[in-house]
Amino acid sequence: MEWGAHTVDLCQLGNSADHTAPIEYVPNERGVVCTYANGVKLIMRDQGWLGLGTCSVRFVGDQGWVETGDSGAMKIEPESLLSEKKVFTRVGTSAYTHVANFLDCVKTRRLTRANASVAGQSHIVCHAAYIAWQLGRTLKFDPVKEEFLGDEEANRMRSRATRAPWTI
Amino acid sequence: MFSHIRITIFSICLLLAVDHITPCFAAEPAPKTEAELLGQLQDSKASFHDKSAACKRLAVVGTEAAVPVLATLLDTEHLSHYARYALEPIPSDQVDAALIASLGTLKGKHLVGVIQSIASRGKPEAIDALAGKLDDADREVAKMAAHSIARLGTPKAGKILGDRLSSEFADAALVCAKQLARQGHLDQAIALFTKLLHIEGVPEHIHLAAMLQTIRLQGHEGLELLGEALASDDEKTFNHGLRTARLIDKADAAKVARQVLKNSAPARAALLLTLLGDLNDLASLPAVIDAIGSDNDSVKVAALGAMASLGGAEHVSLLVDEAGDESEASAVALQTLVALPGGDVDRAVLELLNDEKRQDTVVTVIGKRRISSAVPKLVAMIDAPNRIQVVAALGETISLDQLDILGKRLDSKPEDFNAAIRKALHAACDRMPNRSATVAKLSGYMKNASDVTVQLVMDELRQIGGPEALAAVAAAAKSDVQAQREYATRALGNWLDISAARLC
Repeated sequence: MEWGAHTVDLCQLGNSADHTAPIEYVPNERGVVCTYANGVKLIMRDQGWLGLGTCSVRFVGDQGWVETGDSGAMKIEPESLLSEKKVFTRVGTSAYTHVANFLDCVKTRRLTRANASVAGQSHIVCHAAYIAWQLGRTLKFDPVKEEFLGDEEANRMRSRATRAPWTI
Repeated sequence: MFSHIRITIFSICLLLAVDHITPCFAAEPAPKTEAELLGQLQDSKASFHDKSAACKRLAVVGTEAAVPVLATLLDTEHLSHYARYALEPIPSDQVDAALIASLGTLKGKHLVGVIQSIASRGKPEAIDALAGKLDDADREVAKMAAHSIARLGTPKAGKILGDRLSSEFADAALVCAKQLARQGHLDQAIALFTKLLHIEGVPEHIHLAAMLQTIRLQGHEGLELLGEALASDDEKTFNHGLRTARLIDKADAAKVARQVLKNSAPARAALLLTLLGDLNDLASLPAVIDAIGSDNDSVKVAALGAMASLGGAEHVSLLVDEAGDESEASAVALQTLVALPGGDVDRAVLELLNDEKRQDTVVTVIGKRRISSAVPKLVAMIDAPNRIQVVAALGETISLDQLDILGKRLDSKPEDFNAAIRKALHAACDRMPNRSATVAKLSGYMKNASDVTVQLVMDELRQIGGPEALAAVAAAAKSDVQAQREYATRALGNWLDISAARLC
């Protein structure tokens, strides 16, 4: 789950969906296909990556795709889209921009880019997908109520009793 | 392209994280029935692991029939928590009854846990039972009871906590007030938040959170409090004001911030100007432009940054004038010039290209904004005194068929100009849309080239990758020219995928 949030938050950002979650989760043998209310699909899978780092994401549009990972490398297809590329390929993982953003927000009181709400939603997506995968069936989800629709078993898997004395 | 609606997003996240869990797709034994799981819990020979696993499974499949067995475990060391795992999701009033009944017998951590579970069940009928624990001698129990009452968040819960409000229950009161607000009981929520603001000994973070919520919920009436926060001598209160201003109506918040700005010291003024930029209310433009003329560096930097959201084409000239030196303000002005959206901004930038005093800055802005229509004018300036900036801008703006503008100038003198050419060529190659044609162009630049240029070409080919680039580098590795052999071999050794290894 921790690993999932690293990449799902990028997908949520790419879909302008930082404050919501997919509404449908369809598991298969190698992952889960999640669909947002706007029709965009988030496909979680464990193979078929170019190996551009440990946190790979691929954004697929109607004209092509770009894949990147935490190595800083990126691959764009078709290559005609390269003319739109506005950032240099970087080599190696760097937390510099994360740290800079955090310090800037301490000063200005802006919300950080990857703030608590963003992290929370990313985890909700991961957990919802994991529940669908464990159950092996399609689940419908209401992101506002944070409930699965018509599936009591799935809903009973959403949370666990907090271990005393800890609370939220 | 990526703004299009029909996007598919792939992510590698899920299965790597959970590969130790067996999914339902894998063949596995049939799950145990509820009766079997309960039998496991009652079997004195069953291990702790088996009993805890039974509880986890009962959380999903347990029914009313499981409640009596699970309730007996609430006072069992190590299993109390697992019993609550199972009980919390079971849809039966008998669970609520069992949990409330156990309030009279449990103590310590087990009691605290059950109080939490009662709140998780979300049944307002439990409030009276929880209120009975507010005076418990174990203050951890009392505090958890207050917190659980708060989570239930009904008007009755608000009244109980409001009547009993003390620094000890301040955290619970805050949670309750937020719950009340969420459920639409605004007046009661505001009353509870306001009460929190006036209680002695309330922890500072709770006091500030109550202030934030009061401002948010009160609408126009909260603006006075926002003004007080932003003008406060207390740093934390001021910071909370900055945070709150970003959560309420932007025009209202900007109005208050502008008013406070007039009498603020420079350090505060800078943060208020950043706030005005974030709030994006055009009524703030005069105040921000006025601040650009400040003698204070922080104020000036913040004002120039705020122009990225408030400015437009009509401010290009002003920003270019501020971007002409090595100062931090100049760097921010340049960032703002790059960030301003729109073709009208591009046109406003180009109109200043013939102004000699502004030309260096304008050329830089052209490059960073990638204004490709400026290429002919830039080419005409390539031998001008500011040619290093011109070449950098060309690297960002030329197309593939214009790559020779830079390529034919490799190995130029003096060295700083040649270095600028190499850097610009790299910038251009990084975004060239036709990889094969780019490889062909680059390969041509090696003929009679210096060692430095050969090294550059090899490295660019390595970064481009693909079969054409690999073939070009492999050919160079067998060249009669020593530099080509040497740098091609290095490139092959650092090739970005496995394809180079197949040449061996």
